[in-house]
Amino acid sequence: MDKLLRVGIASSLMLAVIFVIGNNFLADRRPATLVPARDVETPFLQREAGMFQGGAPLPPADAEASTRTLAQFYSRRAYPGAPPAIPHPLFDKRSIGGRSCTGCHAKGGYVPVFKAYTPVTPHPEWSNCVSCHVSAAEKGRFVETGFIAAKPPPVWDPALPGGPPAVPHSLDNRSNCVACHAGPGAVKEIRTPHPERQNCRQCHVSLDDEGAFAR
Amino acid sequence: MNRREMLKQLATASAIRAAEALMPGVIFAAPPPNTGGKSMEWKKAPCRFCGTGCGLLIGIENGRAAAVKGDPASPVNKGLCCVKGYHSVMALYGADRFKTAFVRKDGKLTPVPVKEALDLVASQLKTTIAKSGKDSVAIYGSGQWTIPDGYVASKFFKGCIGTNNVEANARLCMASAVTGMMTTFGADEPMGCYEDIDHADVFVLWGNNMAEMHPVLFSRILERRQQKPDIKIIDLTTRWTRTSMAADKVMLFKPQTDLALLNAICHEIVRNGWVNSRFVERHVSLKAGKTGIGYGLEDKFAFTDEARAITFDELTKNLAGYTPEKVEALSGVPAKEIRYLASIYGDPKKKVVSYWCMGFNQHSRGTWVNNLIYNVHLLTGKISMPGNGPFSLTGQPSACGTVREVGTLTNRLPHGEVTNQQDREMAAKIWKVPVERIPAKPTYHTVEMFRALDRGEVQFLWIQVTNPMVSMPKLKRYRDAARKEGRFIVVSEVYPTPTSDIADVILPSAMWIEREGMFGNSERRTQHWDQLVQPPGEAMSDTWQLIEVARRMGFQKEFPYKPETHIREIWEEYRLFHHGPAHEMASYEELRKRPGVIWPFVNGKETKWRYHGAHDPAAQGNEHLFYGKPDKRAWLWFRPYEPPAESPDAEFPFWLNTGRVVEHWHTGSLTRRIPVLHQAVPRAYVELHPADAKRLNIRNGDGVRLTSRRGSLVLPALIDGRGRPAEGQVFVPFFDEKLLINEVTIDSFCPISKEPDYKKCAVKVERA
Amino acid sequence: MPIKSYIAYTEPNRGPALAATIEAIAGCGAIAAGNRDALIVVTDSDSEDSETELRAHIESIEGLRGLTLVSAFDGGEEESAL
Repeated sequence: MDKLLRVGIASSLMLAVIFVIGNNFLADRRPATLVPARDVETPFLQREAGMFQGGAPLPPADAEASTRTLAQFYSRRAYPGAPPAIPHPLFDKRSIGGRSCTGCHAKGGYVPVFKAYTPVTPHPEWSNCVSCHVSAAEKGRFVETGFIAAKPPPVWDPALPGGPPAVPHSLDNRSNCVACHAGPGAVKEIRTPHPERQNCRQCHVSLDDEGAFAR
Repeated sequence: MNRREMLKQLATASAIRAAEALMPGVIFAAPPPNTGGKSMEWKKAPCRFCGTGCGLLIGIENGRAAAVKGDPASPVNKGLCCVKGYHSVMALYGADRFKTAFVRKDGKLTPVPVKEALDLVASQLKTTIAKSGKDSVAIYGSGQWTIPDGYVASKFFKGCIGTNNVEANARLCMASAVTGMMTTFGADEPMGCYEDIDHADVFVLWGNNMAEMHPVLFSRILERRQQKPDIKIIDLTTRWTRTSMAADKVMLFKPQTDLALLNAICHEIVRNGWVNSRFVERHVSLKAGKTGIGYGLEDKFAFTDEARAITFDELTKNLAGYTPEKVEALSGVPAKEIRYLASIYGDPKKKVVSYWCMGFNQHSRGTWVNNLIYNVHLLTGKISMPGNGPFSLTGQPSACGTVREVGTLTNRLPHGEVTNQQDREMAAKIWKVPVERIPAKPTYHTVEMFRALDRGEVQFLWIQVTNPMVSMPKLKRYRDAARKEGRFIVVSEVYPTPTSDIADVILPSAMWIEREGMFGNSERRTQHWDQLVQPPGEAMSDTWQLIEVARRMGFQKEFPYKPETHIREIWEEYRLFHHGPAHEMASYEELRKRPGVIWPFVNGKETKWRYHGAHDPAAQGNEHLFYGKPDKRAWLWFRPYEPPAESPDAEFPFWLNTGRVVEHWHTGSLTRRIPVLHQAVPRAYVELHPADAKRLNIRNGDGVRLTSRRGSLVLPALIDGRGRPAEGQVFVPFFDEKLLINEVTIDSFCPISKEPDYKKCAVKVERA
Repeated sequence: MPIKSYIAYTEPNRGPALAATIEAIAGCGAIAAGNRDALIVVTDSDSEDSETELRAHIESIEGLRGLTLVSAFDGGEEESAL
């Protein structure tokens, strides 16, 4: 019995060796399929790559599931384009951000405690979150302010009826369109009807100049 | 439109997209609900811009074009456009549109009625021909000419006046693709169609920024990859672009080394036994041509290639110089990446489509590099099958339809070549002109035509639908040439441009949907549109301008067409040239009904894949047949690596590359007058690599001086704002008539195609 | 005030005819596919209850094989967005 076992193990080991060597031998003849490591790194041009980030989910069957409204969106910001204040208590008051924020805000998802879908960050490349995003410790004012915020851009303002509206905001830190315009965490009023299209800036251009062309 | 209407549209569009994801290829034939007011009518037209040829629905209200939708019934774009397409109709309404003709009197362009200008053009033609002969007059047209425009121009100049001085700006964009196809297959235009996208496993993009230049096709590729995530997009590029950001793999190579890379891939295919021997033995002839063929920098440069049959052993020996290690040293692409790419092509189970455009065509060895990509597909037999084959993308909306199919080039006729007796006889018969009138010798290609203008051999030049005073390479010489005494320049234009600025006569042209016409796109699809709006003032279609002048020169019976039916008459006459299963064109009625028709259109069916009996009635059985060549085989040409005309050196250490951005079309005369597009990219700039910028103490927005042996220009720097050139390279878009980058470029060209290389010359870069 | 859109599958070659039938119903629009047995249906009704009735009515049409909800919006009060 003992001998049989030893013979069995030995022969299966031998077969394994033959198999491994044989496979490697044949592998040289088969077309290579592994993607080799890059020697020249492709740079990450955030402005250009942003729109291709993040899988684009189809809109939810019931759009009412999105609880983020445009009014709420602007209410968290001092002016359109400002970094929003953090409206919820922090998990880790001593963290600079990083994982303790991106745990929820990188991919989004429903948070039962807040009865809301987590907004997705359009700039996951930054990790020092609290250098821009702060939470309110109290509600009051130190001294009243006369600051008047800039007006937000109009929603749905295409050049021609039915056409693709231009991007009415800067792309700095906001080049990942899916973050606000698609998915359950999207802002309701600006949800795109075609989130599966990925090359957003083929139709929606970002405006640079205010003037008209003159020769 | 109120919010409910808008939401209903969103809901409909959502459902259409979801249906397309569930049922690939589904088309919803009825147009989506109205976007505009109740009085908006929607009519079909192909897009005015790139060679993709998207189908549009133009919203007409109160006699004006007021909105655009993608045509969901078009198999090309299935309802999607790009930003240029969506705003295309705004190009009709710029404030400085030409509504009347202008004639230069005492040095100043003075408005005159169109009839007077046409009289002057005809009389000037007559006097110039009488004084200096037929070859002293010339016409320079465009890949944005409609098919009837080009047909009438060719018939007028070649069949009536009797000169081969007919050229078009497609010489500057597609000529290498043409000569590549003619030398390899003996017949022009791709053998596949856009439906390849629905079948391929791997997309290899060579030297073209498809995400910005053929955005709707790129979106189709992205959509397919989303449905089938193991599909790969591989980007081979000299500069990182938006396309690189979306690709699965990017391979950066040094300019011009595409020649070596393709040979290295062939080397690996042969070495690893991935050659489809049966296919090669039955369907491929091996050839070699001349080497050390020059760059066309001298006036009257001439070159004729010679084909020499070679054996497979000789091919293998030639390829021995292109091992991945040797090519790594030359190109900067690591050897293992070259082997990886070769293995993709070599894997018989992978369907691969190769796409290329200006990187291969605007190349001092453009014909060679086109031959070489075909070599890769011919060695592996991956050709003429759904999702498996090489596909040359076209830049302009009708470079195929007009310039290549009608043959508006010095050496061409609507069927065949001027040098061929039977082709001349066919033209003479259909045009009803004496065959002796059609000259048998080609005269000038585009660069040489402008050189002849400089030398004084060409004294009358009619320019239509193109802007050479912005787009010619080594621009200063040709702009000075056009301004010399004794040169009479007629420009048919819609807006003031640097070309109309130097004209002696400006004829106001009707644009696109202001007149009936047809375009032919990259995938051999001819698309018709009706006249949808009235042209402004006295503006007249280029077709009709040519007919009016021809009649004034006595050619009434050659141009008997009636105004109401002239497009139909011209089309049916033109169609006669293309009879036969290899090129049959659809009838006028068929074109009007359908969202375009792919030719050959044989017995009511489009030929989607050519040269294979399973799809092409001109081939037989279930096999390939390359019927363009006399030996019925495709020719595999061995072509070596040769450097460009000018490479960086100690004095001029940077490569200069030029190109476009998605927002602007060519020289910007149309798109800059569309407010949203102008605002998106208002000025040209120079892209630099951040490391180069740092070294030269240049920050984003700083003035940068670019200097070459030909000229100098100061541009604002743009760093990582769009693309990023490799180190030691700069990139400038050419849409800005105030920042004429072509004063800096070089007029070297491929000796076979005569197409200039806009992608490579040497410059000095300094902070201004 | 729901506005909803659906994909509907039909029996072979019944698409265009069914689209016409559904178009004729108040509060409904339909577009037939040119090359498949399917259509898009869009409904616009005053309340969830009337929407449910409308849906039941559509589903009972002979020749229709199924109705799948794709998207839903709240039409809200009449207001101008442009």
